[in-house]
Amino acid sequence: MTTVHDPDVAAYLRDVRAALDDLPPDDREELLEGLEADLAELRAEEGGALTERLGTPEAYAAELRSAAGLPPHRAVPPVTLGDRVREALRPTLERLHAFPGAGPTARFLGELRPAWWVARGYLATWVICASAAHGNPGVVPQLGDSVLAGLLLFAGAVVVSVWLGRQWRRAFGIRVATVLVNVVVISLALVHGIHDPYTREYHGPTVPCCGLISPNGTAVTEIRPYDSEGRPLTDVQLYDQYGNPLEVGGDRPLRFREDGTPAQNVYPIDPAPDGLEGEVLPGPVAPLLPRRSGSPSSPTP
Amino acid sequence: MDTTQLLKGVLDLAVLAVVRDVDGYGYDIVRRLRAAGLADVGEASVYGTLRRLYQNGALSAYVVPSEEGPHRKYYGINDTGRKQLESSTTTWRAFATTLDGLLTHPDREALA
Repeated sequence: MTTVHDPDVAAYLRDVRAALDDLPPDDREELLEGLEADLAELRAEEGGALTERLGTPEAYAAELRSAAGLPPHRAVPPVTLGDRVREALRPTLERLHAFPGAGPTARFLGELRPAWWVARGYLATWVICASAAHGNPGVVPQLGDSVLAGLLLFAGAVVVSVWLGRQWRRAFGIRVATVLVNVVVISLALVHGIHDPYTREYHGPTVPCCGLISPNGTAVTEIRPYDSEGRPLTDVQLYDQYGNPLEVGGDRPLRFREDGTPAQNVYPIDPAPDGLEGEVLPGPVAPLLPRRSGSPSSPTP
Repeated sequence: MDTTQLLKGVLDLAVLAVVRDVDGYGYDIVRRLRAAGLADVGEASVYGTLRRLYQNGALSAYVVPSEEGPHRKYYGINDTGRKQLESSTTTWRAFATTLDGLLTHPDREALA
């Protein structure tokens, strides 16, 4: 004799089913098949609440699993670091998922994952080649001077990258490793790509850090003084506005003043008429017009 | 002695024994076991055992629709189940005889 739609039976069945929610639906329903009829019969026969007769639905489900040789609910209860991180991120993720269009966007990004795996492999190759070459290895990365080696490296990097991507869900350690790889590859790519320390080589000679700089950007290595008549002067001592001897780089003959101090500010350094090697002489220098009375800072009338 | 612990080891055998001649549904089988003297047997343990024996191929199962309520699921023994019942019976008898002997003549067993 069975009682149709006994609410106590329905509630008990619902709670047992909930305690089996981690099983595949087919297994669960097969396990529960016929249970409703049996519970109803038990109720009809003995009366009283099912929990008094059978214990809590959770305990019932646990005994059912144990006898059926199924693992306990959530077989691995210890809380891992991954669980804690997931738990901490859950509210944020749920809020993100609540945005309109979040679902399609997430699916779209999910579909792009394989493309990112290949891109990551390329970036890793590029970074390695850039480090090896101390410079921009080009769009098709060359390892040393070999395009083939670069391509082989690229193929290997893609294999590793895809493997990492496919293992993503396997273990928390793999996820941590993947994130680390991503951070390292992307930051190294940025360092090599944007803050390219080799760019200067392509934009002209090194800018000197100190000393006099000629208008074309190169260091001043010689000074040729001429007098008001346009005649070259020798052994001219130059000082700056602070009274410091004005020195330019380069080798110069050792000179001393009468007081014994070294004279490193004597010009021209090489008084020979031809000048230093590679030096460009100014040619004939025209005499000066007489200085007009007035401010020394206004050379033109 | 807690008979529930003892039952765990022999529940397969007990369940196979009570369906040897007549098929039964879960609660029906629980009733038969209790009537046979296994008063402590738990419903969930029996249901779980039925499911496992079915999965292992020792029992066949079929659903009988009911006009007045939910369907019943009947279990019946098959050839695999009969073989298992036979070999388990042999094992159990040897075990029970050994333990009986131990309990009756503990000294002889210890000296042997």
